Amino acid sequence: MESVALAPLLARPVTEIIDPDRELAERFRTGDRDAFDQIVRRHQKGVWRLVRRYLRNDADSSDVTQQVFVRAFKGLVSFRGQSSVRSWLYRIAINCSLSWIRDHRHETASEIAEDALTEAHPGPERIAGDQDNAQLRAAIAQLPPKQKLVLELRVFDDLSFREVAELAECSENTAKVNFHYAVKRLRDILGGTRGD
Amino acid sequence: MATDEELLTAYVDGVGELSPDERRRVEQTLTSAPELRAEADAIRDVLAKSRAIVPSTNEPDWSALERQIRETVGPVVPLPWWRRTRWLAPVGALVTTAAIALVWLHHVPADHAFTPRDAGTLALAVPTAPSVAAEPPAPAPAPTTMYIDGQVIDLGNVDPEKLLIDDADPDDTADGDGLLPVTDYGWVDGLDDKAMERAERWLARKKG
Repeated sequence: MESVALAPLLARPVTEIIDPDRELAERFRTGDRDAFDQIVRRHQKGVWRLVRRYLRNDADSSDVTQQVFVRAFKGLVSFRGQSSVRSWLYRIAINCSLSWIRDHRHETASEIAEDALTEAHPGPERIAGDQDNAQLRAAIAQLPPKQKLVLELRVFDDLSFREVAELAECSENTAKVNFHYAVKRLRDILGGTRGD
Repeated sequence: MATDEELLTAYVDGVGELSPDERRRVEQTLTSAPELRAEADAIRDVLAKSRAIVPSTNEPDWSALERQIRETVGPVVPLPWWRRTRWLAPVGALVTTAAIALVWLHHVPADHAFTPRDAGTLALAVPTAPSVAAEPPAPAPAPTTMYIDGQVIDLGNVDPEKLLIDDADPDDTADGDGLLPVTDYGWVDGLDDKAMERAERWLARKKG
């Protein structure tokens, strides 16, 4: 029975917030500089990938990621722990990315074109799995912005619905509903593509 | 409120993140509508494929990025704003006190009304009389300050000499060159009987 297998999961309190970074944030507040390096090590990949999805450019994504952590370094002493450190970092990452896009509006178009060209000519080792990947990516790109954001944060950044809701600035319930329709739409798009 | 079907994807992807009520509702729906089980499987399949998408980017050298961040932020943990600016509290208090003291010393209230509450010890502070040796035109009389129970009573620009009782002339009255000019007697109306009595006693003593 499915309910028996799910028993350990069901026992978890829903409202419980487990933030493995809270202790690091506390240590940093008391002057432990190394705690910040550990936070960087834990989250730089996630932050970079999130920024990369907005900027679509590797080099700029590294610069913006650096910016994100510089802001976090300045702000972590005042961080009150109302969200997880990760979702707080991701919020900074989204803000920095949007700000970068605003500041580089004119350059962005050509860089995206260049980036798209690179992705259009993958190496031979990638061709095999790329067809499904490309279809899925194209399907995700067609999602309405909110659904796309919720799906990406959940699937690619592996965030909880609570964190997704914080970053998407909606209720947890709305995040769950948006996630449902995003997946439903992906299935429709992929089903239609396969049917063609 | 989300329908049971709308919660199905969240149930499939993170059952632990649903409230007990939401879980119960979705499970009841799955029991009563077996076709939804196939739906749940399809959802699971799409999510697995999405998570398996290979990032199409050249990720940076993470150690180098970490080093760059470390060098940029520097070695010192910043202080929170409330600790950076905590010197403001004592300095602010000092400045405020100094400002109040300055105002108090330089701007004695000009229209302070005398009230019965003010009645009590009566004292006159008479500044030194200007030198009579000065040639005309004589300087305007300096403002005379009167204190009653520590409160300042403004008498206007009255010649301090006029306020002094001429001891040599026992018939001198307040209407003439006596203790106070007639025009400034308005505050006497505000005295209660007790204060008036005390003032009279004080005047009698002064006269005697």
